[in-house]
Amino acid sequence: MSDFNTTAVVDAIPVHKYKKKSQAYVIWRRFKRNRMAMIGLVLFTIMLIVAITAPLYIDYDKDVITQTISMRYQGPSLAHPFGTDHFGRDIMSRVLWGARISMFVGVGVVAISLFIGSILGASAGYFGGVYDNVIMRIMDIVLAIPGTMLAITIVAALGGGIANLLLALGIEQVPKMTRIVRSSVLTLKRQDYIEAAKACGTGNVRIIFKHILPNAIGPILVQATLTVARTIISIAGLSFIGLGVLPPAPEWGAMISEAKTQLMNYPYLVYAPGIAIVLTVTSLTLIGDGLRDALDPKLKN
Amino acid sequence: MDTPLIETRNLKKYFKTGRGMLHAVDDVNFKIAKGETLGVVGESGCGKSTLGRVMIRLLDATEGQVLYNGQDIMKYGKSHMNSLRKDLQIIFQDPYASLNPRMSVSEIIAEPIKVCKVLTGKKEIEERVFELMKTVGLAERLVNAYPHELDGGRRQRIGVARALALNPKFIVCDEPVSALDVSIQAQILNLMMDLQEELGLTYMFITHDLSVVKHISSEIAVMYLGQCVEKAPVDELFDNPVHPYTQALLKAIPVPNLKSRNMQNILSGEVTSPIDPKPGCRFAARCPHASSECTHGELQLNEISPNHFVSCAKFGK
Repeated sequence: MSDFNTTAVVDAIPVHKYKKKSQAYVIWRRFKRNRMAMIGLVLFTIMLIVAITAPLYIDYDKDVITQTISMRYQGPSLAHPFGTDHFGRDIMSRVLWGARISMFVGVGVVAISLFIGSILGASAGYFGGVYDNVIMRIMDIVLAIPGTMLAITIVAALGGGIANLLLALGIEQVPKMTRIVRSSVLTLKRQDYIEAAKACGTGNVRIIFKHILPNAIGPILVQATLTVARTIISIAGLSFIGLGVLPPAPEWGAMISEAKTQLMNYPYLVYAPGIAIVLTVTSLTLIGDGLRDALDPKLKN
Repeated sequence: MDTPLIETRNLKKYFKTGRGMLHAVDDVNFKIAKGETLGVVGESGCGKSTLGRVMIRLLDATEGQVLYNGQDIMKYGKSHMNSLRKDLQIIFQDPYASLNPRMSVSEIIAEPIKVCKVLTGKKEIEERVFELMKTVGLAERLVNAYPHELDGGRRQRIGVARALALNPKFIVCDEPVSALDVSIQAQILNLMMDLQEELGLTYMFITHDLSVVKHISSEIAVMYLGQCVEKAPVDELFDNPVHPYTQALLKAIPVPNLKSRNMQNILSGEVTSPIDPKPGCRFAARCPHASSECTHGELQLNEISPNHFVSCAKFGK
């Protein structure tokens, strides 16, 4: 055997000469070229900043939930750019604060469903057989129940509030995530590089997390952004029928619901929360579409 | 021949299908000595690749043994097998599919080293990666490139470097050059032969290209429908092919000369189904010399001259 192992002349190798070109940077460059996706990203970033910094210039107790009946149903003015509602609360403060709730629940639901869905989907697709069948049939059962019905049932059984809302919408999204992850894993697990990894004794967990999931990231991330958008609509819907966020917390759907009786007389009540929902969902959808294109590693520049 | 590095005994691999058992590898016996190259040839679907995967236990055998240094690796437990995987590596046919598109060249080459914990320090691994890249002739500047940015030849060099990363003793080369341009084929073949000499590697070279196999092998096994029909040292096989299938294969090699072109005895028909094959010679349905005696009983590999084995009812007795 040669002394291949123990070559001594290594000090001449310029190890750090070549800068690592991160793949995130390449993806970002491709994403940047998509104008609609960038508009979505800018919009979403602004809303995210507003949601995070809202407590700095809005006092929850004073601005958001304090009722001042003498100020009710005031049209848009300098003091109240979007007017005031039927309890005399400033709609702008409520919409800005509402972004916190929508974003938090939207992202939380995706985090929950992504975590559970990735583990279930990746293991089901990778190991296959009876295990796969059991998991997927359970998912089919959950999927067979209409999503809104399921959420209503859970919220009705456990009561309203943000924690139960997270749980209800999370359970609804898990089967969809599981299916997407599983289908990506099924196509990827037969690739030669998986076999190459097995040939040097790579463990199943490392194969799934290092070789399979990074390649499945495209469809998963796209689904995740779209799920945030869909969840925000679901929360608004549930709040609209009175099962979501509990009053007086300012949720966009709940605000529209409260305004609906006065829609004919004071239509401006629904403009702000309605536009907020549309903008958030649209921006996320645009980001999702942009990511889909940017994440394909085979796409040439 | 000294003790073979790797040996198969009555190796069988069947796959269960809806229509019956698919005999992908059926009773294959051969030995490869250290430093030698066994070329395995045969047409598509004859079980060459399955054989290669069973040899390094990417697939478990249905029956039979694979002896590595005299020990049956099919009986090894999981941890024992993993420690042995360092010695047994594989190079794939398609350099587009065999490299993880999300990993850079250095990550791909370093992955086996990290998994097997051969080296642990970050600097040592990096140095080893550069050393391997140099060994297979990859420019250093490509270290952070991604596979889709490189051409087929360079990708295949990455595949070779990855296989070499663990200092293997035996490498299954599963048609490593058939997806490449002819000019690049020669480069990769020469690289592999240089590496064999330098590192004392043993190859099992799977291909359907006889000119390639002639170039690199010391011995050739011809497979047909999961069985080895003829096995001989390379010169003997090319000079004196005995089995009708081998003869037909050799006649099918294109000759760059109009006058000496021989269009006779080109095989017709297709490979018969490998699912529940009939007894007797599996080639009988397409063999120009077949008669009733070919469809009875199982055939054995007979040694007709030193190291030249043939399995045929009519020839080579």
